[in-house]
Amino acid sequence: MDLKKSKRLILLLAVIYWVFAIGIYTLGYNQFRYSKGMSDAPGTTYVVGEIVDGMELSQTVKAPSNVLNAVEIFAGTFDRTNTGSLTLTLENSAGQIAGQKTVSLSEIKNNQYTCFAFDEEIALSKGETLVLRLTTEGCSAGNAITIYAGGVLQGENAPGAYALNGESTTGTLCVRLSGYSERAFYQIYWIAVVGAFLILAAYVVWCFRQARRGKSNMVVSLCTVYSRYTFLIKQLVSRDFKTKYKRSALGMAWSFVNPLLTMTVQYVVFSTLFKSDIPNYPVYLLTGIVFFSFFNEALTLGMTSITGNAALIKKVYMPKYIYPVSRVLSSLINFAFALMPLFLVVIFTGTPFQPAMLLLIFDIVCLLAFVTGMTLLLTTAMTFFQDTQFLWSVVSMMWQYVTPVFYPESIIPAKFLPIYRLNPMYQFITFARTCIIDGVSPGPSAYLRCILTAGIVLLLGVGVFRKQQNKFVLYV
Amino acid sequence: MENQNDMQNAEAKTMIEVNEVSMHFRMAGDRINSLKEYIIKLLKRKLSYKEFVALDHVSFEVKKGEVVGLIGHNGAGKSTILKVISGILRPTSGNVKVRANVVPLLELGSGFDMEMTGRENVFLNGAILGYSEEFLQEKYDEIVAFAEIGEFIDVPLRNYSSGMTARLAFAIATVVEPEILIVDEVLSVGDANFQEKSKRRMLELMTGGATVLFVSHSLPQIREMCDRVIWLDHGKVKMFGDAAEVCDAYAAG
Repeated sequence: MDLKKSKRLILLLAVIYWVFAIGIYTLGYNQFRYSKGMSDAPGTTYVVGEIVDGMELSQTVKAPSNVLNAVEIFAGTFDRTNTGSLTLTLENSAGQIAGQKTVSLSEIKNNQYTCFAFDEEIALSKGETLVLRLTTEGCSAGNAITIYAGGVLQGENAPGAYALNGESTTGTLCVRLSGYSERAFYQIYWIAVVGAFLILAAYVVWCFRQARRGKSNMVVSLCTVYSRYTFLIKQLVSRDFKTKYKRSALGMAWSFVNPLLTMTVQYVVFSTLFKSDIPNYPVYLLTGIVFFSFFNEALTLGMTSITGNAALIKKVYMPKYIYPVSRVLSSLINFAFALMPLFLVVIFTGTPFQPAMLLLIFDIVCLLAFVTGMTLLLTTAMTFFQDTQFLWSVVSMMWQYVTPVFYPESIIPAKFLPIYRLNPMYQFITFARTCIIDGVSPGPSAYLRCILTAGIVLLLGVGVFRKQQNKFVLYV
Repeated sequence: MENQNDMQNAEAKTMIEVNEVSMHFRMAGDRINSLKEYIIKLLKRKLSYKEFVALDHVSFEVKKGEVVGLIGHNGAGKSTILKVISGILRPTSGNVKVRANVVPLLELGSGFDMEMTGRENVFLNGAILGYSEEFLQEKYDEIVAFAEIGEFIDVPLRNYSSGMTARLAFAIATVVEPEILIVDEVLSVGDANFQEKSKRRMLELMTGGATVLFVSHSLPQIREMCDRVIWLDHGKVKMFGDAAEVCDAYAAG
């Protein structure tokens, strides 16, 4: 082991750690500090009739968050310009007026939600029962709006039935309160970051001490591979890359033409099915395709890396990690090429570029760790049982169907969602879509899930591979 | 001369230390490599293996600068012990300590990629053999010149004649001046002319101060080159000692 190079590697990793810690904090500050909340509203099934002077609609709503800043109303204007005003009064559980807003009817849009911000943010507590009263002034039949309503929703936080002039009805108004709550997470962020750093640093120091006593461990093998075999890995990766498209006319261009063609085909096939449910469907679809094919390609190529290099393994010594890892890195380069058409489509569809897109780097690092771990696991299985690859082709197809690559998550029945969301590829792809399509950072739990999934699978993969690697030469 | 001085010096540094190394293989016929077979056999409780002992408690030491020969009939475990020392095989029990970088000349050109040019293959194969990038850049011209490839160096390897491929492989493998050299038969490749040249290069390497472990079926060659000889028989060390003595005993037995 080359001590100087190892020190440089450790230092580099430490710097990367802090760049990530600071970058994520900066880009994700709003999502770390505040969680958005919005109260439930039913689907629009009927209208309550014209609301004229002297009528009062009252609707009980559970506060969705600790701070309220807006109310949204799904109104109908009968496709005409109405005069007069609508007053929204919000009463808290003690019966006091917590907030009030008067809006001109001309501001209200027809057959869609219109959002009105309160003049001042309203502080209360999440889950509190509030009453929203709606009255008008200057409205009469032929010059009034109406509000949509639907059946009463079930559930703890569902709004109740609305009342007309104090008389209870059997429906719920299509009104939503929105606001935010402050999270505790952002306060412990730096404690968590520093704590994790100290633990990792202590572990690295301990590993180096062990190494001095002649015991090998993961950190030391990583350093050895880095200091002695980077050149070899570079050569193997460039070999994979050069030979992949050697005798094809378009050559490297396939790396980005391929995802574009797949997207076009799937877009044509699925757009009529799902387009209306998903905003920005081309970007949604291509993100799914590009991320999932990286996973699939790396595993399919990587798992045969030991059996495919049997001749070499029997004749030359090198750490066995190098074979699967170099295949994963080759796929990573392909993935980088495939990101280019994704960004082309982002530009083409007019999706704005946001700083949050930089968070994709974090997502990709986690995905890479996850894919490496999976590849090591499957390579080990493949070396002992050659039918793993046939089994895998079925499993990977299943995996693609349980991942929202081309369909919206909303088609999954709600009761399966908790299990459905355990899928690691779901995490990584959803993370990427939040960054690209919504242009914001995901909430803190998405980060934790990505780090945990990636870390556990990587450690498991490395552990199993390490334990079995000396037997490989006897089985190939 | 220097070698002999080292030899006489009892304090000479031990370069290779083989301690009680045993190597067991499962017989090829019983090898299970599909999950289906494994489960069926597991259910039938027929998961048993026939073991084949390739090496049985082999111990020896090689000192710096020594040239040690390995002799024995086919299947005695000569190649296996070379693979254990090179790190390709992990012994079933016992251990091997090697105090320098080993360059095994076991099989040449095993890392070649037929789709890539000669130039690319020099770097790929060199990297596989453990050479550094700077070293390869420095020695690149020497390799190409020695292999007598000429302008073919920028042509994909699939267009090479087998002789050209072998010459290139030999040139890459022997460009180093290793501290420990492991040789399975003296390799000579190519046409008569190049055979002579490659043999000279091998001998040059072996007598150039390196510690050499050398397998050959040619007793005269062993007698000529080796300081000491190990006679392996059915995976056991039958005799280890002075080259002439062991060779005489082997020839007699």
